Amino acid sequence: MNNINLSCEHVSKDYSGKRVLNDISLTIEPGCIYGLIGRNGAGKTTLLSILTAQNPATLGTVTCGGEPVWENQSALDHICFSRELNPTNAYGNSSYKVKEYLRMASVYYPHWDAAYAKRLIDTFGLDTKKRIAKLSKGMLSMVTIVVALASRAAITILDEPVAGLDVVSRERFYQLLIEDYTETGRTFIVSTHIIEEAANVFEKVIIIDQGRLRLIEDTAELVSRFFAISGKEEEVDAACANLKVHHSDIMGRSKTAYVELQPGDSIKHYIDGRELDAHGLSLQKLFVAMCGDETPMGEGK
Amino acid sequence: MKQGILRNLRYQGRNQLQMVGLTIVTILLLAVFSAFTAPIDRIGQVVIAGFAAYVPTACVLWGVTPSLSFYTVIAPYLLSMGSTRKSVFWVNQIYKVGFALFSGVVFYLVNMVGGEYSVFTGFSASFTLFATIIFLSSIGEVAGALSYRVGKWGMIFYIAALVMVCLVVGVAFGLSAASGGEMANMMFEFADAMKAFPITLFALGGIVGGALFSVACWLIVRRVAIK
Repeated sequence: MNNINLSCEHVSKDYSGKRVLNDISLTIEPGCIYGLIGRNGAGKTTLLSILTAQNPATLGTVTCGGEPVWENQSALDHICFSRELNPTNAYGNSSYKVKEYLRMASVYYPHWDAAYAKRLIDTFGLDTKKRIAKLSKGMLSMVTIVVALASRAAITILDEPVAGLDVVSRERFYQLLIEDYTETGRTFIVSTHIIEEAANVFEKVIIIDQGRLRLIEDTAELVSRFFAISGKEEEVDAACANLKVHHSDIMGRSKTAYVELQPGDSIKHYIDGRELDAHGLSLQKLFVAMCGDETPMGEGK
Repeated sequence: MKQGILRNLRYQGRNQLQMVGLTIVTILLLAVFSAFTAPIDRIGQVVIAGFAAYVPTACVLWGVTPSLSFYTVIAPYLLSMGSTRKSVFWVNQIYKVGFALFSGVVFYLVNMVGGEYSVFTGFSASFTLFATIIFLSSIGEVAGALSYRVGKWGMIFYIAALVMVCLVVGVAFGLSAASGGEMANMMFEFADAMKAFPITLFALGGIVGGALFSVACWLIVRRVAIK
């Protein structure tokens, strides 16, 4: 059941004539935790909703286990996209009680694990008699997490699952995610803005920027290729002459350049013999370097 | 597809059963209320005669009103949980017809049991209620689907358009009748000719209209995006 991949080919999406997703092709391989990161409005939720047939693509195709996802129940049965709940959404049934929402999930997800759902509810201390409209942002996130994990779907997608959760609950969520992943080998796609905390959990990372797929890569390999090189401006510029510089900060005569190496390349090759410091970047830092403001910080500001 | 239909039958069926329960409770409450307000010596007669109003009122209330919110409130959740648009739509159609059938049968039985005190008797009144519920529910579905797909102004424009059509037709008939001209004569002739048609023919027209609105609803819903 868990050896199913999810792919999209040349997917584009237009809203009112404006292209919000542009020619995205990717394959979600089975048994992996993917992190989907991108700035606000980059198209993360749109991409996820197209992958799960909740939103029709303007162009392109999406398949799950080789079958088209659109209006295909057998393909959709392998997928759970637990969307962010919004209590003020005019279209959402915010008058539902949590238990009613979970009951609905139990009917529609074919592999629903009621006992696991009960354990998760107890873990988070959720009051299932409360109406969705009365829940805090953190509790809404907990409900979406319960649905996602208890769905036991081969491909489980969580959109901003930790939004509004306190640090203890966030830690608990990541623990639960890893426990469940270890136990079942399911595929998870987690979109988040809190990258630093989740970086260790993501085996692979998908970066979307302005509707385009920037990369889909093994997290450890990706992080190992990004460095910050600091020193005198001329020295940094000389060292970076043959490197891909994503971003740079200038402070007085000092400069820090955020660079990307080619696979197999070594940073020593560029800084040896120069008075420069080089250190690796965290996933968050490299994301900012790749997708941050095009104008280098410190220049023209 | 089959699994999707079964899940929807299960979930939407539970909701529909609630509507059936609420309909029965509403009919009973209306009957009790009229019993309290009727003269003591004519309680039975008043209550039985009142069923002519209670049953259609309750059936339209619980059969038609929820159709407005189905595509704005319930369907998006069902779709977000992996159901297909086709199965959500078709099962909703099945339950719509089922509820209309339930309403017609209840109305028929109540009128039959009421015997001489019943305002309506026979098949045509029940069939008309059946057709009315299908027609109004289908109009409501389109309103809800439009509201979800293009926003509340879509629904407001649609309802306003329906009201305008009714107004124009009504005013045209009224003015022509009042003016007593050739047009009015034609209308009276038309009305006379219509008397020859059984009421079931009008009811059938309602069912055909309902089917057309359902087709319109499917065209709106078949590629709807979950918000």
